[in-house]
Amino acid sequence: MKKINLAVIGAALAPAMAFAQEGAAHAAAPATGSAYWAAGICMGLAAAVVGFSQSRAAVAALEGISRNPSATKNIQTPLILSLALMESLVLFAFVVAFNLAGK
Amino acid sequence: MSAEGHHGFKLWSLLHNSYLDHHDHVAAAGTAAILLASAGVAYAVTAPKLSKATTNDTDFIPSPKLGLRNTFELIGEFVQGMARDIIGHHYQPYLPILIFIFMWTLLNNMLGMFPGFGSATDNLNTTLAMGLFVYLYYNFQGFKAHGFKYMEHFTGHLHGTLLLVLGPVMFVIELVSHSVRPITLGIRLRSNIYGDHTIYGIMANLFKDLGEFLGHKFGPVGTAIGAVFAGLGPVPIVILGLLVCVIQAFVFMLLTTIYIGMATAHEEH
Repeated sequence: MKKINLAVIGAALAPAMAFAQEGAAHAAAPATGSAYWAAGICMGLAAAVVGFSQSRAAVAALEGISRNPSATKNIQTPLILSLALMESLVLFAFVVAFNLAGK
Repeated sequence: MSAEGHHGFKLWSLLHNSYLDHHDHVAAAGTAAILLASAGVAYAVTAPKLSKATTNDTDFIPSPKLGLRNTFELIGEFVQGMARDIIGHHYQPYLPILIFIFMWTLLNNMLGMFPGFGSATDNLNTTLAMGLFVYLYYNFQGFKAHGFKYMEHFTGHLHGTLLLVLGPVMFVIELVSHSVRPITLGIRLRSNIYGDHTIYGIMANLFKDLGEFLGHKFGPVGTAIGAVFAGLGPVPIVILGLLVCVIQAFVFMLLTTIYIGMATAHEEH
């Protein structure tokens, strides 16, 4: 039983190693003119959409807290989690913009 | 400033080790590890030896002042409440690693806010390694809790004909969504901390330049006003920076807890 567990654990490691190798082959191309446009539009669009989404989450959380102040602890953790998950999407866009045209 | 990377003064430049000078994140991780290990040693030395003969009541009551032991108890209680809510009643074996992940991430994030130190977590090497560790850990715990049946999590708990038809598709989708988790964990933490520390450095430099400009233009009065600006101006940014440090450590620990909870879920209770 233990040997089978080790084998399936090894199978679960494979995708992580594939992604690690992909990250190593990362070449930086020189920034042309259109890359600056792309970076600016990417970052601006991401910030606008994520700002709207986070405001919706915050509105729902604040309304919930105002209706039921004793539920603040229950609302706080999912709110922070949702905000962080949306924040991570705009940070991915930032990484893309940085790679396109940024020093 | 500490956020400028190669331009700021680093504490480990006093060691004159060329590897550490070129790899700031290794030295930063080393300082965080040394600090945590020192806290552990300090506790081991000063903690009361728990035996029936020598234990007083005051050994169990927390002291009213904020000390080293109180800080760790605060963090441990917070993480324990979170683990109990998310993982369930079998949260106990996973608690030490969760508390360590929170302490380690928090300490590394905070170290970058002080001059002379740096954050190990503003480098993709550190955060991807942390993400990979979490990925290996929760999959290992899933296999340990369920055995080979853990693979059912990847097929969406289908049985019979549906398993034959939709099983491979579900398996590939679930495998991809699981495998992207260490990457998102690493990139999220790194981007937040790197961006936050960079903005802190830039704003601090801007205020410093404003102070210098005022001193240049208006003489001694300008220097005084400029010093006030340069001193108090970055305060909101420092508060925002500390908030980002705490929130990112909390989110990393929370996501780890959720992944462990999903991997070791016992439906029969």
